[in-house]
Amino acid sequence: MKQERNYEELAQIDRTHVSLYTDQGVYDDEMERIFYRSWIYVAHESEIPNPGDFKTTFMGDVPVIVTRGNDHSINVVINRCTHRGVAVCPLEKGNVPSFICQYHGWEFGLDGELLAVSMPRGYNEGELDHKSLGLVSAKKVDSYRGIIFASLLEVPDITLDEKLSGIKEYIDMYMDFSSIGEIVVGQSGVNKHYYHANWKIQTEGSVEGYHAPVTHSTAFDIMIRKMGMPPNYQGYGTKGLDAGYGNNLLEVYSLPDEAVYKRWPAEYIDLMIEKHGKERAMDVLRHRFNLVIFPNLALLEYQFRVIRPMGTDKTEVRMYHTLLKEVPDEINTRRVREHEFFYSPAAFGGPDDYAMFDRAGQGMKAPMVPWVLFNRGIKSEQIDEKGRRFGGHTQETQQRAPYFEYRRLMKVGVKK
Amino acid sequence: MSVSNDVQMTRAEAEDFLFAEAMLLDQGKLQDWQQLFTDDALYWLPYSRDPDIDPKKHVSILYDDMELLDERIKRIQSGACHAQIPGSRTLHTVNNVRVKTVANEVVIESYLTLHEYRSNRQDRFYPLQTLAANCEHRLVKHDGEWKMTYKKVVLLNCDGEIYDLSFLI
Repeated sequence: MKQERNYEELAQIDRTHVSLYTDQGVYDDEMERIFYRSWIYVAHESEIPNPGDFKTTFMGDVPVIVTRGNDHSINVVINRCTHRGVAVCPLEKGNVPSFICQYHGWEFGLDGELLAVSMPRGYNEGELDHKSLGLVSAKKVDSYRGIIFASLLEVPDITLDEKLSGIKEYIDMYMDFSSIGEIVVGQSGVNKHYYHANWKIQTEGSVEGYHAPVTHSTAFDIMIRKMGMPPNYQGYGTKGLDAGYGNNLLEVYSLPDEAVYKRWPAEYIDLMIEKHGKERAMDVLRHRFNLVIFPNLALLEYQFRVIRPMGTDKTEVRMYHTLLKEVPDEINTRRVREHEFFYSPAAFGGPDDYAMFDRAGQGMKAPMVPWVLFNRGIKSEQIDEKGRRFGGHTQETQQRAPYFEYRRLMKVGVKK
Repeated sequence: MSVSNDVQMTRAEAEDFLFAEAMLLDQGKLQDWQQLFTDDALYWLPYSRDPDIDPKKHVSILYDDMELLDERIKRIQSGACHAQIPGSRTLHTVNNVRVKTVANEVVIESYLTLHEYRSNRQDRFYPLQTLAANCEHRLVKHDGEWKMTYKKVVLLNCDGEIYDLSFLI
């Protein structure tokens, strides 16, 4: 019989065991207990605006289709024909009236219902139960500000509202960079990266304040000299935050008003003040942050970053560029240029990160050196007015955060 | 500076230009390669095969004016571009060259096959990468020398999963 691993021992407050990054048994437990039973990001509503629109993606290893139904409802179904196991949808995205498996012609509605099969007279009475043979739906789908999450096998033990309770203010801020609070995800480009190491390295790495001056010395030098990055940005309200349920945040900076006016053109600031009011507009525009929504989504200034585990030692990372609705064109063009400067496969930042992640995949092949350390700043952590732990942005509060939820879910998910 | 109106170019001349450009890239003579561009040139790798893609509204793989290209080259050579430690060897093969003249520019369309390899990597077994692309070079005669005002490289897999493009194409 399989022996249960002690995840309290393996994922400690200040360190994680290297087997969490390399052991197939741990990976299988993560799929079962995190990726199939808790809130997983699948899409943004702007990717499927019209009835019949679909997007295929993965929840852990499981291929799913996210669809917009004829009644505008959002459906998440497993991309697997209930007949003989074939993926019914062969494309990444598109628009269809229904999904027809091209192996034996079984046709499924946008909500997964089995509509028809080919040559039905070959089935005798009682051999084909349409009702039970629809595509398997996620047990729960919910969204906030257009960000769609689903849980595959069970209704999660916390509502999405509860899951996001510590970070809604930041999601709201992300959307409110648009003058009407709406964004379009992916239409302006998707970077498709991969690296040879565990998925959690990108979760941890999406809020990495400590590495920036080391790994990215060359990129930051150019950003400060040429792209309006404040040279002393580290003095502006930077922090790392544990926002609960594994969610966490790197506050890159929170600029004073005069720096906001240097960073953004007056036309945009005026429009934002007109639409949001002065206090709200300035509060949004002063911020730059990286927000991890555990386990597989990160919102960074210009992107939705989606993390897909592909086994213990391979990870796909997709960066969906985001456009702001109702802002001057030059603002979106600037978001395009600044994003590709840092994050494209030829960029000045991202490839260096993936070089480090590949090297992590190499270093972690040494099981006799068991611990990965996250204790930086643990003795000076503070609690903010909302009860959230925070520390300096180059400390590791934000990287300790996912493992509180990791321990909880790995325990909750144990089969009784 | 003088820009000549004499903008005829034979296919053989175009090939000589592209072969010389490829050699500078493959030999790592990146400053000399940049000298082939005019000061106001654009070096562009779009993320899409769509010829009408608007780089103002869509992220590119690379969209460099000469100031940014200069920064890029200095960064690659700085010793602190970690994705290029160890650095890439490249071999540019140029094929299917066609030449046409549009207004005062020569436009060269070509196919590129690019092989890339990184020796001396700790993790070993680095797979020889093969990239294929359509290239468009626009040239003007500048003080008697052909110079690029524009180089666009459209990779066959520009919108696919890419390991990294930390070397120059």
